[in-house]
Amino acid sequence: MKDLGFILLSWSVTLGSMALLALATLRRAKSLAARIRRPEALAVVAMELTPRPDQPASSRRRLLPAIIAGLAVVVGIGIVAIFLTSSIDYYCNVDEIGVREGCDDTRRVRVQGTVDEGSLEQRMSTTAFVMSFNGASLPVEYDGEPGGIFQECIPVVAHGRVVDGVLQATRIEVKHSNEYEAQNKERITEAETSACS
Amino acid sequence: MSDTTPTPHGAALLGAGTARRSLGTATPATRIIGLLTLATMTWVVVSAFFITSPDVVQGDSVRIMYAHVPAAWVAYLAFVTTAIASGISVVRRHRTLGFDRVAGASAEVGVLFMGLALVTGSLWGRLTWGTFWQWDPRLTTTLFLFITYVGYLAVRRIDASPERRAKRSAVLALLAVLEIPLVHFSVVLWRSLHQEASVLNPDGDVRLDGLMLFTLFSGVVAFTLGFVWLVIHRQRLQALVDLQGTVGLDSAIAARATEAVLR
Amino acid sequence: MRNVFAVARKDLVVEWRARLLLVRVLPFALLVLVLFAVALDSEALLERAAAGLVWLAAMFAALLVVQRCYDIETADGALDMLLTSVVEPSRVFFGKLLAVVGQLLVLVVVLVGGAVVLYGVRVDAAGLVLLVTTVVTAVIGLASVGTLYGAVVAQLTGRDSLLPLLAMPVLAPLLIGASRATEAAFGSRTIDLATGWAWTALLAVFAVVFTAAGAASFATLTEPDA
Repeated sequence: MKDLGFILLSWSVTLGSMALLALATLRRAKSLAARIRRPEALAVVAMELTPRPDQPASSRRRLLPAIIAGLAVVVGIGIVAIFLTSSIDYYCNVDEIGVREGCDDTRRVRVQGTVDEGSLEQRMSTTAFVMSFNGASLPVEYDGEPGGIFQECIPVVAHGRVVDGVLQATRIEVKHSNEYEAQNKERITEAETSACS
Repeated sequence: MSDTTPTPHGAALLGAGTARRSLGTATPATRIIGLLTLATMTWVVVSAFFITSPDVVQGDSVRIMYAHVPAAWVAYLAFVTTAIASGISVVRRHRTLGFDRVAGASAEVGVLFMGLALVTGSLWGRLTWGTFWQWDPRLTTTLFLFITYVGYLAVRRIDASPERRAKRSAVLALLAVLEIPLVHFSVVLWRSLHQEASVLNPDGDVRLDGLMLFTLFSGVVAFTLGFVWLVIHRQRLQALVDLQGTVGLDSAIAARATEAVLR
Repeated sequence: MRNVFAVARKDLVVEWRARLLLVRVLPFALLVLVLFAVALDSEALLERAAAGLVWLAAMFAALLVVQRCYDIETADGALDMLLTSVVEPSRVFFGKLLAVVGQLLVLVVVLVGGAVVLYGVRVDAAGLVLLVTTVVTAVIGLASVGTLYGAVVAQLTGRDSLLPLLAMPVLAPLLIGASRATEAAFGSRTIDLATGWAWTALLAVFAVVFTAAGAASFATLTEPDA
């Protein structure tokens, strides 16, 4: 199995820490309970946990400002969120380079696009490919081997500067989609024949 | 009074009144939850590793998803539980601190699961994006959420009276929970390297194969059961700790009183 | 309203008599600016980072101010006395907020002056209007978060380290917004003025939200334990 180390590490950290917390809780509780187990203590527990009637006079006065504050905060977050959508996107799409504000080709940009089929080339240590999005395309050069599941027909985010119409990338990240499909014979052949559809 | 009608809960706490002694915080109900957790968790692990097939694009690394997504989901659930319990403990004026204890226990477990989501996500990111960490909106906001609740737990650990601790931490929890929608929708709002949710996305269609979806779903069930078990036990543990303080004080007073009489 | 001003005046008078802001916080904030300059050691980098560094220094210094603002209350049970007088808790909050805002305004003005002298940033007339607006809104936001979280940790042991841990994640959006807007106002022009004004709007929302939250929860935070 590929990448088995990372997968095993993820799962063992997850299950191990859950089990550890569970066991530690049980052990601590056991030792505490052993120390406290006395009849007087039982009475204290019974007292502690008996519900008391509400005191309605004070609770209503407390509720109103809380509701108002809650509403204010929710509205505030909504406004902030809507506002921010326009401002600090993580990346620009290929077709927005030089068009959209903040995506000028004069400074460092992060560009998102799909690697064109058949455009991937290895020249010495440099990886060259063309990425496209929404009809526009942009050649990219990257010094080194992109990591992750980098391949043709996959959406990527390239960091770098545009020089003479070529993006000189200093970093390439793979932005995989949120679609998951099980690998099986039928689909593999289908994927190979109509790769970039 | 004490040995005639102890409340079921109090009896369970100390293991008295049940056939088996020295149980600490376990009751029949939690034992059933514990067994269910073990059973579902076993199925999830078996299915994640051996039954489901690798993803078309991601290959085997998709197997991390069955741990990552449930961990993140349970962390959200835990923080919302903390906020609800805190809200109740602020609004109601019960003398019992039960809700506060639930809030604290839930936040403890939530921090653990958020940490797990960050670790597994980081490993998954290395395999798929090619980087362990990137300052993108989803990852950054998640990290802030994690730090916020670490701070919340730090406040709870402070040596103050339980009532004061309850009030201060309740206000914190109610402020902190507001970050959650921001974290979850940061993927939709800002463009992010992190993929959008596959199940809880705005379009409402599910983008997973049948068996993969079922495994993911059972992962969520298993992790949620584990969360419930942990919260119940940790809540009772906190009750025991508080109780120890009271009992310790009582016996100390009694001892000093005897000394005074003898002298 | 009179109560609010009375509380604020009391805090400022105490502060003026001790002159803690003058002898401790301001030198500390300026020292942070100088240390950043030494650590980065590059004119170009400094000019670009100036706005962020100013606000980072302001945030560190603000936490000191807030700490101080509650220490004077809790010293001799003064807060309990204040609350036993018939003043509404929310008014006490606004009073303390006002006092903190006053001190922070002085602080930030000095810091911006420091950036002009030490980092060589230039501000033109249009930038100045944006700069003043940004400073006022960001300081109100900073003060409201500080006053709220200061009340959460007041009278607890170990509050000196707790306050930064709790407040900093919350202050992150404010730090981003204030830095971007100030960057636009400074001569560097990596961000245009219009975007700067948009960030100021975000700062205003932030300030309103946390002022409302603080006023609503101050009663719960300060009431004596039942």
